[in-house]
Amino acid sequence: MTQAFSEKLKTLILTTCDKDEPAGGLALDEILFGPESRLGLDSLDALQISVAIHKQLGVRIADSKETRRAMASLATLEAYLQTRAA
Amino acid sequence: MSGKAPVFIQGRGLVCALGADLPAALECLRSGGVEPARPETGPAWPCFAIADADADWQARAQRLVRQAVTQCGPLDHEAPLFIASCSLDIGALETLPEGIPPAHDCLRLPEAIAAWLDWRGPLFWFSTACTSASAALLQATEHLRGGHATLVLEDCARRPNSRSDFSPTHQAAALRPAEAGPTLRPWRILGRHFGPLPADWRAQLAQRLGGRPRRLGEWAELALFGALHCLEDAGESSLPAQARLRLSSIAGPTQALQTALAEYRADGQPLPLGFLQSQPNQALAHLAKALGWQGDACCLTSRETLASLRLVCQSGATELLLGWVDEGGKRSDWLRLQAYEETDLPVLTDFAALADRQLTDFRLQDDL
Repeated sequence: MTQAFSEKLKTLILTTCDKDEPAGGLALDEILFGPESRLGLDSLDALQISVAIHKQLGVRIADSKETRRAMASLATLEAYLQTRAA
Repeated sequence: MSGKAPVFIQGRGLVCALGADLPAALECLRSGGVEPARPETGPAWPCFAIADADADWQARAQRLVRQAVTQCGPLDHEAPLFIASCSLDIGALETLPEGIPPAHDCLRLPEAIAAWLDWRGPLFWFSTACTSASAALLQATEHLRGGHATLVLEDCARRPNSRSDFSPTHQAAALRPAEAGPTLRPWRILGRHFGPLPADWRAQLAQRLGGRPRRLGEWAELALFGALHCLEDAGESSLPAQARLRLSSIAGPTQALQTALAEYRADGQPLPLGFLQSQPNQALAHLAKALGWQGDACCLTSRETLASLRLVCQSGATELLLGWVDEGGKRSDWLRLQAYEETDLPVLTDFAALADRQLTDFRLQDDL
């Protein structure tokens, strides 16, 4: 995966979830969900991101367990999509 | 029992996939019902279609609506007409080229239905997804307790070729009150928000909410802006628990609906949060949260603003928060009203007079 893809993924998440990027930028290994995260995404956001990924990248994330694992951070999501693209 | 006056069903009509009237539908159910059809367009979900293959959907809808209403018996065509459907004319919107906004508001369809029925009374349109019929029935029942005759018609005119709207059913119910007893209350205006919005209204809303609102379409944002200003004008930080909230619009969340339809056209799958924004009732949940309130809230559509004000004011409520919100023209007019006992008050005959801060109290004529 390239830096351009990371940026694309970050933009997809921020745009589809209607969120501003946290101060200093969103780090690749930063957690995305839950009250401890700076973005504070929730399960509705997960559904929104999942549908947006399917629409834009053609990858369907199978179930909620897989979604939780894949969307832990930008890095895990990139890795997941890399696996699915292989 | 709530202690409220009862309302009786005077007549009823039904045209659906099971049959052309209620006895036929019941007989069909007894003999095993009907098999669902698969529409040629849209998702391959099963749907129950009325056995009427007329390619002209308007002629078909007109005939079936009249058929259902006729079953109700003789009706007063000057009475209010409540129409419910789970879609805001989505069949017509679907056929528009992408990016082209509709040249009409969502009252085109109910107004066509009123014309088919030669109806001359005030028209109220309820489109709150699966709760549309319940919302229309509840509002009609409350209105009837004020002593008026009413017809409720629901799920009434879907296009047979719609990709996103299935299983047309035409139902009608004529209702009558147990006893005539108009409830005409005088009202005090505790707060209001009328007039053009400032250019930075979105920034002001974000400041008021403590951050940029998320998961809201423009229609809901407009509603929040006006409602919060109105409440502030009333000197209240939250809405009283017993208050009723009514949100009226002639077009509803049009932008969100068009976006969801465009996404649906592209690949059959709108983004979930965008699709939710296309549902008018979603705005009520956001309003309730922002107003620190849980209670009786409803969206309705009427071109006659004074008639919609009368409808709500005759419902028996004593505390009201009412909004008229539309994206076109960026309108978000709100009133916070409280019933009281003073009777020597001016009769309100012009809705626009409510914007005048000199007007602090009013009463309404009883007839709609």
